[in-house]
Order: sequence, then C-alpha cells, then structure tokens
Amino acid sequence: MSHLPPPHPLDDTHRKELLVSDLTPLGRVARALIATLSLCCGLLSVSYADIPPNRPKASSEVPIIGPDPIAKDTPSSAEPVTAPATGSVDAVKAREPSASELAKEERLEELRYKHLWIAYSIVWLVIFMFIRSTWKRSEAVASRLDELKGRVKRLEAQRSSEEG
Amino acid sequence: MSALNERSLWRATWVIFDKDLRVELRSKETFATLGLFGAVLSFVFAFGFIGDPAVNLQVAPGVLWAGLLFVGALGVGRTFAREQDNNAFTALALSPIPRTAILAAKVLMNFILTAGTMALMTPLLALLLHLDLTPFALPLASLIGLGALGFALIGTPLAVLAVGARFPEVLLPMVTFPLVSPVLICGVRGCAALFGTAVDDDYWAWAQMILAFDLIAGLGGFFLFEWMVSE
Amino acid sequence: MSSDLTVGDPPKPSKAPLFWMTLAALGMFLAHWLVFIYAPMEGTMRAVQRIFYFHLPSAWLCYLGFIMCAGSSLLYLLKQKSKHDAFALACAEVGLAFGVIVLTTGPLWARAAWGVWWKWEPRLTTMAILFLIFACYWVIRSFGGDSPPVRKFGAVLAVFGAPNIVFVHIAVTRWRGDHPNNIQLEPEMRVVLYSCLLIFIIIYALALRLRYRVHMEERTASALARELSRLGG
Repeated sequence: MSHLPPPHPLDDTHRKELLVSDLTPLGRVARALIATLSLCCGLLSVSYADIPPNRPKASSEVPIIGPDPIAKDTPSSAEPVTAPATGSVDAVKAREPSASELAKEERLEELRYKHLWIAYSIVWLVIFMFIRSTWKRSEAVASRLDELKGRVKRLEAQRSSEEG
Repeated sequence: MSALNERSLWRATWVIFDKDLRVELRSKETFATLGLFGAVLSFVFAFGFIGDPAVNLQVAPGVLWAGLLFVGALGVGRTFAREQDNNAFTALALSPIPRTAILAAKVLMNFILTAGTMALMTPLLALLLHLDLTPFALPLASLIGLGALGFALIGTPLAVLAVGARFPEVLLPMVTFPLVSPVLICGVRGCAALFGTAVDDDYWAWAQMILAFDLIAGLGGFFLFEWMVSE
Repeated sequence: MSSDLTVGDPPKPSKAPLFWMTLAALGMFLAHWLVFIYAPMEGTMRAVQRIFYFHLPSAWLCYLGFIMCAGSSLLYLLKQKSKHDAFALACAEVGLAFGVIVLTTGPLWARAAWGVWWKWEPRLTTMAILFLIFACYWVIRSFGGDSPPVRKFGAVLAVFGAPNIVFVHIAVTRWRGDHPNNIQLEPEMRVVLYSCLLIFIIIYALALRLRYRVHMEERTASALARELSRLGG
C-alpha cells in the first residue's frame, strides 16, 4: 500500500464523518428514535400534571402576591391572608367560602393548569423546532459537501489525465 | 487642501466636519428634509393627543422622545449618503487620515442635524399640544441634546457598517432603537420629572445617567472603530 | 475573512454527541418527573408555580448565551477569526431559543399568578430589550448576507448590546423600583430547581456545540467552493 500517493488535502474520502452528528446512518436512526421518544414522554409527563391536589399544601413562606388572577394587578408587597385572631364560632362561620367563591377558585385552578400545560408545550415546541432547524441545516451542508467532493474528484481526474 | 496631509486627529476631524457642514449649508437638503419630517411627525402626534393640556403634559415626554428617535434614525441613515452617491466612500476610507476622525466628524454632524431638528420640532409640538415649556427651556434642551448625542454615538458607527449590508435603510433603525433604549428611558423619565408629572423623581439623576451612557458609548465606539472598519 | 479555515482538515471522530444527547433526553425525563411528581405543590400559586422550574434556568442560560455571544464577537472584531464569529452566532441562536422560552412562559405564569400578562419591572424589561437586541443580531446575520461587513455589523451590535443591558437595568430599576421576588423555596423545590438547571446546562452546551459545528461546516464548504472556483473546477 505504500506505493499509493498520499491523499490530497482536498480529498476527504477517508473522513469518518462529516457532520455535526458525527454519527453513522444507524446513529441517525437512534437520534430520531430518541427525539420521538422524548416528545412522547414529554407529552405524557405534561398530561401527568393533571394530578388532583391531594398533597398537603406546602408551608412555603412565599411573600408574594394575591392568588386571584381575575382581579386587577395587585402590588407585590401584598401580605398573605392570615386567619383572624378571634377563635369564635361566629367568626369561623363567617369565613366559610360561599358558592360563588368556590366557583371562582375552581375557575382559577383550571386557568392555572391550562397555563401550565401551554407553557410546557411551548418549551417542547421550541426545543424541537431548534433541533429540526439544526438537523435541516446539517443535511443541507452535508449534501453540499458531497457535491463539492465530487467536483474535487473530477478536477483531480482531469488534472491527472492532462499530466498523463 | 494642504490640511488633507495632516495626520492629527483633531485637524482631520475638523476638515471632514467642515466639508460636510459647508455642503449642507449650501444645499440644505438633509436639514430641510429632516425639518419637514419633524413637522409632519408633530402633526401626527398632535392628531393623536388632541385634548386636555394636563393629559398632554403627561404624554409630552413620550412624544418628544419618540420624535427624536425617528428623526435620529432618518439622520444617521443619511450619514454616508453623499459619499455613496458620488462614489467617494472608498476614497474616504482609503484617505491617509485616522479613521476615528471620520467617525468623530460624522458623529458631530449627526448630532447637529438631530439636535437642530429637535430644536424646531419641540416648540412646534408645544404649540400644537397647547403646552407652555418655556420654564423648562434650558434643562429640556440639555436633556434632548444629550439624547441626540447618545443617538449619534450609537447610530453613526452602525451606519458605517450598514453600508456593506443588504437593506441598510431597514436594518439600521431596527438595530439602533433597542441599543438606544437606555437613552429613551432616561430621557422620558427625565422629562417627566422636569414637567412635574412624575412623583418623587429627580431630573439630575436621569440627566447624569444619559451623560454616563454617552461617555461610555463614545469611548467604546471610538476604541472599537478601527477594528470595525479594518479590512 | 475565512482565511483561517483550512479546507482539508477532517474533524476528529467522536462518539461524545450521542452520549450527551442520550444524557440530555434522559435528563428531560427526569426533569419532568421532578417538576410534576417530586416537587410539592406551592401554597399560593399552586400548579402554575411549576413553570418556575423551567423558566428560571432558561432565563439564566439566555443571559449566558448573550454574554458569550458578546465576548466572542469582541474576539472576532479584534482577531478576525471566522471561528469566533461562528461561535458568536451559535451562542446568539441558542440564547434566543431560551429567550423565547422565558418570554412565553413568563407571561403565562404572570397572568395565572398576578392577573396581568406583563409587568414593567426591571428584570422583565431588561430581558425583553436584550432579546430584541439579539433578535436584531440574528435577523442581520440571517437576511443581511454573510459578507465580512455584515459579520462586523453583527459583532458590533452584540458588543454594544450586552453592556447596554446594564444601563437598561439601572434605568428601569430607578424608574419602576426594584420588586424583589424573594421567593422562599422549600428544600425539595430547591433540589428540583438546581436539577433542572443542571439538565438545561447540558442541553445548552449540546445545542451550542451542534450549532457551532453546523456553522463551521458551512464555512468549510464555502471555502472549499471558493478554492475549487479558483482552481477552475
């Protein structure tokens, strides 16, 4: 094999890989599989978000803002609602939520879950659009490089025949 | 013409600025178009805000600074128009003077055009919106002057680079507006503090912020300009 | 221009991308489990608070992307090497992707939690203006052509844009006042947040590497085409 001339700098037939992926064709299938599985599992995970809130409420000391998004913009220094100091039965009865308040809270809860699902769908959409655009560009540059390799070979053949 | 052989920065700046100023004073084309544009803009804003002078005083800062942005964008777009029209841009770039001198001269010219147009537009706006801004004349002029300088310092280097790009008339305003947003915020708030429509606001703090921005933008621009245009 | 590219250098063989892609995919599964199963329900904002675990790491990585873009652009202006420009463009693209996540999930969270889609507070305003600047950068690079003047135009924009944000933040803080959201996190929430941050860093690094390689391959192809034209092929 030593009598063969060294490969031309423009000849990259001995390149193991060309592309951003550095993968064999089988690797591309694996990539597609991973991407599809990730999308399915991501959507499944988002659907798991619809868990009834049976956990005890976390006692986080979040000093944020009132919980009612239907109301106007509340100042950020809003204090969390605290129970009144009196422990009388009348006070307790007066604090029982009315039907309209319960309905409002339910609408609020639906709105929260809806926004949560939309947000995570957007995250997945952005990730997959980015992957797709990168993939398409890498395919385009690969085909361009293949075409240029062909031109190099033709040029080499032409030069060697001229010299011969 | 012997001044063209001088290499000192200030001399070269003065030569180019003097040339631009003389041509502008003779033809008046850029100043006239900018002035007319400013007048048209004033009428557009006045159509939108016809009403109570108290309300107009509240919207006046935003209107003034939006006007400055549009006038400035139009002005910096014309920075190298004469050189390009007469195929003199390459000659200017290849001339044996420091490139920073070209930038300084063009910044000065853009500043004068923008500030001059605002000097016409502000009284016209005040008239159309039924506002009396004479008690605030000097501080308002200083604030607008600093804003015009900031716009020129940011917009002029970008105008140099936009010469080689496609759609420069669209790219240049699109790129310049976000970069001058600190000037816009400080200018609007400074004017609101001056007119008394903002509660507990300090005009000098806003003016200082614009001044700091101008200093840093100027230093950064002049430092980087040699690398921006080197080939 | 691209004289620093040598046309005939083959890239080194590497299995690393497959490993990191698998790790990133598994990490996303783990992140979803952590966010939806492991993390406790927050008391005030309830379910919508879970957006926070993706929103905050995205914001940090968006800032990181833009800072790296500005740094690489400055290197490009000083050294005129094509690889610095390619890296800056890759950083801007990845930063923009994370910026889109931030600016879409943020208002969704704000609307459900505070009742308004947008608040003129320093961090949101700073993020929005920074996003605008780098969106302009991306538009210039995508539609303005790929000549050296356009690359410099973009580089100057990136270099001016990143420190500009410091001014915007100071100005808006003075204007609107700082609204510190001193969110007190429980230990489980902290674990979820930092795990999501780590997973997002892996995704960020992977995306950056992939995008950078694409840009460098494109430049190699252009250099090869120019060389062939010169040789008469």
